Amino acid sequence: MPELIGNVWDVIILNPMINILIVLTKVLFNNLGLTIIALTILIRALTYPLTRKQLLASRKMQELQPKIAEIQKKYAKDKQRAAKEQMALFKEAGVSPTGCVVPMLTQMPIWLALYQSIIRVLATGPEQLLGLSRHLYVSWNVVFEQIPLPSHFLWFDLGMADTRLILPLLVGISMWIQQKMSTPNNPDPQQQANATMMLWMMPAMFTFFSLSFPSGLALYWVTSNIISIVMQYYVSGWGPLADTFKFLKKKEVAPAGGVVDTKLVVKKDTTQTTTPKTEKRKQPWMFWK
Amino acid sequence: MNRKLNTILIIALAAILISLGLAGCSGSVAKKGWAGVSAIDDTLIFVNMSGNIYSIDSTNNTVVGTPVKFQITSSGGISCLPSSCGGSSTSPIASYSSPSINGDMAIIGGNDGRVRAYPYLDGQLRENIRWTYPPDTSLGYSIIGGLALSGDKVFFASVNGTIYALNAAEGYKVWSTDLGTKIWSAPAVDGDTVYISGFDKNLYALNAADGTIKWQYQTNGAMSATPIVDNGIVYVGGYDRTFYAISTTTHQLVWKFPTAGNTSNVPDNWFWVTPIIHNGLIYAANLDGKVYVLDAATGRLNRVVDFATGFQKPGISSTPVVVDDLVVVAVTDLTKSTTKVNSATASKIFAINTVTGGQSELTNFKESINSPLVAHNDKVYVHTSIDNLFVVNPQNGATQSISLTASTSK
Repeated sequence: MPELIGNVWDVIILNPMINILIVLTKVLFNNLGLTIIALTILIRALTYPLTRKQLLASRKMQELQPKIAEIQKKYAKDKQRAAKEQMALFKEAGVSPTGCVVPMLTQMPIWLALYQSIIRVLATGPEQLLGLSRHLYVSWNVVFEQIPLPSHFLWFDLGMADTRLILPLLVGISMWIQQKMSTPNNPDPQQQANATMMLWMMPAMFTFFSLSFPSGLALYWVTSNIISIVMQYYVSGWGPLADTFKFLKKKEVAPAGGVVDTKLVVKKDTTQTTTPKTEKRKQPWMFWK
Repeated sequence: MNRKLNTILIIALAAILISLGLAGCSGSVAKKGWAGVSAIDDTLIFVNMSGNIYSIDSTNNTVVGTPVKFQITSSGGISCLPSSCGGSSTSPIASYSSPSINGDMAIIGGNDGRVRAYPYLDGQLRENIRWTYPPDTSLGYSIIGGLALSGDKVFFASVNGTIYALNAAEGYKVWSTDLGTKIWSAPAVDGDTVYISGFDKNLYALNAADGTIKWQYQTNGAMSATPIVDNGIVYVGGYDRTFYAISTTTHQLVWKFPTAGNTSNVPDNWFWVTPIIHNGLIYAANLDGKVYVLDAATGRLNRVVDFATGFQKPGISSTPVVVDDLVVVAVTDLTKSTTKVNSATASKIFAINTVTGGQSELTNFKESINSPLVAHNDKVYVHTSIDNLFVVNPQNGATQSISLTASTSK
């Protein structure tokens, strides 16, 4: 059974991704670094409707935090009632508790395939290159002529860890910014502790991974993080990041491209975010709207 | 509800991170090597994946004495962690080629970027290294391809594309030439010329005396297979699924297979391993699981040996070997695990009778085979991907596992 799942995964998701990555490298001036960036952007753009759904659901959930805290406080001794009231609140606000999880899980296989494809095409050793051979499309002569892919990009070798530490630091910083933008200040101390832990743990772990993993993966993580930051900004602004970096609060550029007075966006004391009042202008790249 | 959701999210993310980490450790860092055995008289020298060099008495297939360590001590405590984190640790040096035997010495290239020469005395390899190149440090790049001995020199290339000639007796550098491309193949020496193939799709011919490039021939695909030279022709296959025969005198293409425009019998995968030449025929094994038998002079296809393996993705990733009139080939299912014993058959050993053209299955394993097959005293030695060593009788397929526990001491 696991073998069958592995075969289905290879045929439907992994093999197309690997072969497209190789062909795209040829198109993009034989530059694997550019290809990783381009393919990451392309996939994130294609999955944007799901990402947007996830971000919106997450924002709605953030907006409900004070009311949830209120319910929890009010029915502290009656958990069942608290849960019931909470569900009623979700229903009233049109929020699904799984609203931010489902889109994320849906995108996960695609991200995972991209990650696996990058690892495989980097083929840092004979074992890895031999493993790659079975994923190539027999009818695509170009992929056979293109392998192995050139691994130099900017100052680093995509097949080796960046010893100058620039990429690992970029991974950590970009991930922290993205996490910070999407992590609301929570009135529940337990949840706030969890959120703070994740805020630091994830960037620290990925920075650490980047010290030993091929730079190609670090490049993918940095690109993906930057895209996430841009998407997050367009959906809900700087969010809690503006609490840390006050200069972001002064004049926050609204998602629509206009200017929003951030006093409207961030409420003092509670620090929760609310929907920007300015109407969003449709961006030319938001073709699905 | 919300708290539960958060907990689930945290657990899910942690699981993803851990799995990414593990995949990274095993997928991008670990290099185990796949060395074949070499023989000095009746002693087989075997470099295993655990960093030991065994001396095996081929008359009874038992280990002699204590294995010599083929390991490196690094400052990184855990292989997956950067060296700045954690204490020192000892790890095996991966080797992808059979040791080269120079009289009473076995010379071995390692993935750590060093070449070591071990003395052989009284039927056993000894620990006291005769010489190391570079003497005090590493080349900074792995040595994936094997070594080639010719005259008083040993030739090899590091993966960054520098080819070296060392004095085989004392290990000092005679010359080095930077070819500017990644190299995974071993050199082949014929007369005063060293031939080596590169990832830049070129076959290089260098002067064995001083390392100057005599000529080069550009193919359409990267190459990691070691070329062979016979009767004024260099033979090598590439990742473009094409097999080339290039004249050593005109430096031009003599023939290639498949010929341009030919759509039948086009191989489905790379020519990954060193070809065999026997009785005027080339046996070019391919990762598509077939052996293409070609006329060495004309390149005309004699026949395609398609092994009926029942494998999902049969491939030949192990260099075949000739024993008398038999070409012995290991066919591996490329979809099977290379790190554990599979529940089903993962590889089979076949013999092609070069006289009758017939083929027969000799034996099978639940382990993959990537190491080159090696013949000694009419037996074939097989090093599997999970580090077991077997001896196979190519006449009847009788297979014996060789225990790596020392039984005698000299």
